[in-house]
Amino acid sequence: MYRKRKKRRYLITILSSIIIISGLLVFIFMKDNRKLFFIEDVTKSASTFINKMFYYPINYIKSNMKDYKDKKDLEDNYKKVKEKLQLAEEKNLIVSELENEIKSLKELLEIKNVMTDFSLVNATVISRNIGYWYNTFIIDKGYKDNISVGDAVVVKAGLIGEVINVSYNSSTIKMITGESSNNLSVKINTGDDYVYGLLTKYNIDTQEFIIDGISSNKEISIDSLVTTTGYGNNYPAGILIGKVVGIDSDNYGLKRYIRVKSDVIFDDLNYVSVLKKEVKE
Amino acid sequence: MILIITIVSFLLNNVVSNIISPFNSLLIPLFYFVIIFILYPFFKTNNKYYIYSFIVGLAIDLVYTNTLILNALVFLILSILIKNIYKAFNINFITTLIFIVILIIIYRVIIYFILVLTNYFSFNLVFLLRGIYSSILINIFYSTIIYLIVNKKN
Repeated sequence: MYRKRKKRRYLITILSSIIIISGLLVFIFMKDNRKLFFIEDVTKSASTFINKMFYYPINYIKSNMKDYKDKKDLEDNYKKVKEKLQLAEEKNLIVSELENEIKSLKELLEIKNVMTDFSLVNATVISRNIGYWYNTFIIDKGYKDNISVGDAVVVKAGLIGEVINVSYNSSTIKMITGESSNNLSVKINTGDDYVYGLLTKYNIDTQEFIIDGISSNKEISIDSLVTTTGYGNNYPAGILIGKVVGIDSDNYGLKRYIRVKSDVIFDDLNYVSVLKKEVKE
Repeated sequence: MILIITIVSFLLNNVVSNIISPFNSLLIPLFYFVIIFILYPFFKTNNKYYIYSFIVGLAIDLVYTNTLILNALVFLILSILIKNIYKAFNINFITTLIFIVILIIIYRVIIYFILVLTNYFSFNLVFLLRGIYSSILINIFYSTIIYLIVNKKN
């Protein structure tokens, strides 16, 4: 009887120790921006290579179909672009003028490191994560391409996320549509000035972001552009998030919430660009 | 046989998850999870089966997620449950599909609550339910195919 009880106690102790240790390990490994272990790095790189090979023919068909659709759209767009070209040339002149102005101002202020100096690394989406809870996907570029944790990831329609893990030839991207990846500092263009706020939530059903903590009472019009501020996160300033589609307030009318819609189709990401920070001296 | 099905399931899971939208879709693949249940009779000893489940879970952690050992542990726990299911019930085609649905629900709930407890995101019942029902349809379909292949081989 005593021996049986002793054995049971022994088993309970072992089981509870296993549960506690496992719980601790899971908690430690849950961090997004932790450095990958060597084995993780090797496995991720190897699986990226295999997945890439396996996914290549499918990607080929997919992109060909897309090309065909794009070709059709191209004709319509050609006419519009032609009209815009003239306008763009005029704007180019203004831009080069402004660039010179910035250059001289930098020299004047002796600024050496500027966050807005970055370069693009194009990458292919290799796999998406299981389910949508994690809101991550894997691209085929890693630290061999100088990608590092915290780099912003964009498509032509705007920001989609940031790099949270890097292995030799792959990187894990956390999308801004995830709950925990938000609280992104953003600014809303009000024409002559900016209103600052925090991108806090993403509603999957309406596919809209919510901006909270609006800094001023300034009038914000629908279709105003929302961009990153470059503060807080590692994102450079001026990356497009989306356009304002609605302004709500709380029950007391004291707090404003801005609803923002991105042009990015988060469901269909095949090719992305990583904004590599390039601190120029 | 086990190795081939496992590798094919992993690769297929990867391709399908990449093609099908994860947000609005009702077709979220968990192929590597489905095979854990179907392949149980192929293992001669329970210990080998537990090791296999643990390795599959670990592979998911290493390849797809950053949550190292989370899936490995959950798969290990579920493999113990699967062993008991096979012991207690007469497993045929219909019961296989029923238990796969139940196991998907359990798997989703466990992972969701661990992620909530570790502050990965805040609790949202709709989000959890969507995670569950969106994983059922395609996995039932895949289970049917694998079940038929495996039974034909047997």
